[in-house]
Amino acid sequence: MIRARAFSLIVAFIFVAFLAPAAQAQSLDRAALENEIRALVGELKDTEQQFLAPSARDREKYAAFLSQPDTGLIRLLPREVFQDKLTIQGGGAYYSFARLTHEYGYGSDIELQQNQFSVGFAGADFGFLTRVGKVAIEEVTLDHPGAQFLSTFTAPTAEPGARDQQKRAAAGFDVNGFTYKDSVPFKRKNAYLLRSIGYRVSDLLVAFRIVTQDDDGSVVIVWKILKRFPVPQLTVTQASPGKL
Amino acid sequence: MLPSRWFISFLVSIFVFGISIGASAQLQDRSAVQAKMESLRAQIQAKERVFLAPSAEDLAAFAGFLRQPDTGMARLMPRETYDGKLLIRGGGAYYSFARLTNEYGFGSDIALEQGQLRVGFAGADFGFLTSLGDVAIDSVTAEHPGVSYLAEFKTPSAETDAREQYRRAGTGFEVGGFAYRSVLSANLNTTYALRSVDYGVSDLLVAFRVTRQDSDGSLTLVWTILKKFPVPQLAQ
Repeated sequence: MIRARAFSLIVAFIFVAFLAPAAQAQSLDRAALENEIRALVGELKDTEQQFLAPSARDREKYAAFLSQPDTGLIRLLPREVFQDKLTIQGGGAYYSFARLTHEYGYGSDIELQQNQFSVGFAGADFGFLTRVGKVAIEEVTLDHPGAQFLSTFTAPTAEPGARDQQKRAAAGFDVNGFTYKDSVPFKRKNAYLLRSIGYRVSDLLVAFRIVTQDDDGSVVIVWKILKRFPVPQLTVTQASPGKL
Repeated sequence: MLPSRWFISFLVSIFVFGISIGASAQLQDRSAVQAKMESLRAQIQAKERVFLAPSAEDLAAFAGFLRQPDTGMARLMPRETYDGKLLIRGGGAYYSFARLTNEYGFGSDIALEQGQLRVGFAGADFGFLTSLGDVAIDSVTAEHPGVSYLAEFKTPSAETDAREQYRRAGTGFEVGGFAYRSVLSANLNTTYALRSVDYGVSDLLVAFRVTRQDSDGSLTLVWTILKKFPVPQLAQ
């Protein structure tokens, strides 16, 4: 009887001893696999940063300009080609001159899509773009005639006012011989002016010039912030009690 | 003395040749970087498929059940830990019983987040979840008292009615002693019934059981589709 109980205990011990490492091995395998995935995702993100970076040659060419404050050199990828191909939100097609990142979803100032630059992407955010022609980036300052309207424009604080400006920008309009719109076609070697109003994020006047376009459709631009406005706030209109 | 025309042509040729070599090298560099990105993505996707698959042990344990049509096994990752950490959209936290994938963004029926199971994620989509307790998955049919309400529910086609059902599911309600909600606690060894209404995609009645929770917080579900309803359309 005692021998039978001892035998049962030994069998139970062997069974437990056999199962425990198997369960541990499974979770260890998952942990190892997760680490491999995380390492590869990290490597992919680094490679994407390399892919997004302008070439060393372009950086050298603009080294003196880039030593000034509020300047930069970036690459925009065409949205229609790279959307969902990169881990970065927006596929490298967007850029924020305020946050200095391509990541979409937290306020962006410019987008490249179908050979067009655009501004104004979410909520009541809006902006105006104008092409100033084949001029050097150093020549596009606040004194440029195309910058006058953009530098004196006052961002509305009421939502209907912002929505009106969105519609106005979508239709396009002329001031002093310059056409302002929320999207403009890409033209090689041309410079542009941009006023981008991102409510609760930033309000900037930026000059940029196209440096190169690569065979993959990506465009390298050199840019400078000409003016920073106070961060705009939006008052959302409430329905009046009488209308409820 | 001015340099000869031949010498100037020679210099120009060297200049153009140099530029074209430089441009070509840059192009090759970008192509190589792009190829590396594509290769890394393929490697990650292959590993993620393994990571998201249920264990061989669990598949073997339910082999008999899984031979039946409209059954399957899926793993849900906790969204708060894995969303943005994996390449797959939604971080493996979602599953579509209609499309048989964890990928979010094209219609999903269930999600795991903060220890809770959820249904109804986009637009006017909604759904109801109820817990049937610790019952075997193969014993659950559309006639089960907790399932019959879900089987008979008529999907609204008007958006206002769909939004009303969404709110109703958010608050929760009781029918025949069973509580229905869009969010329920995820419990091990518990079987659930789910009606998931996904406009323009699918409308399904599913029973599933949580068979395992791994140390990474992921849950393994074994499931069966009890009923497929016509694909619902939303009248605006």
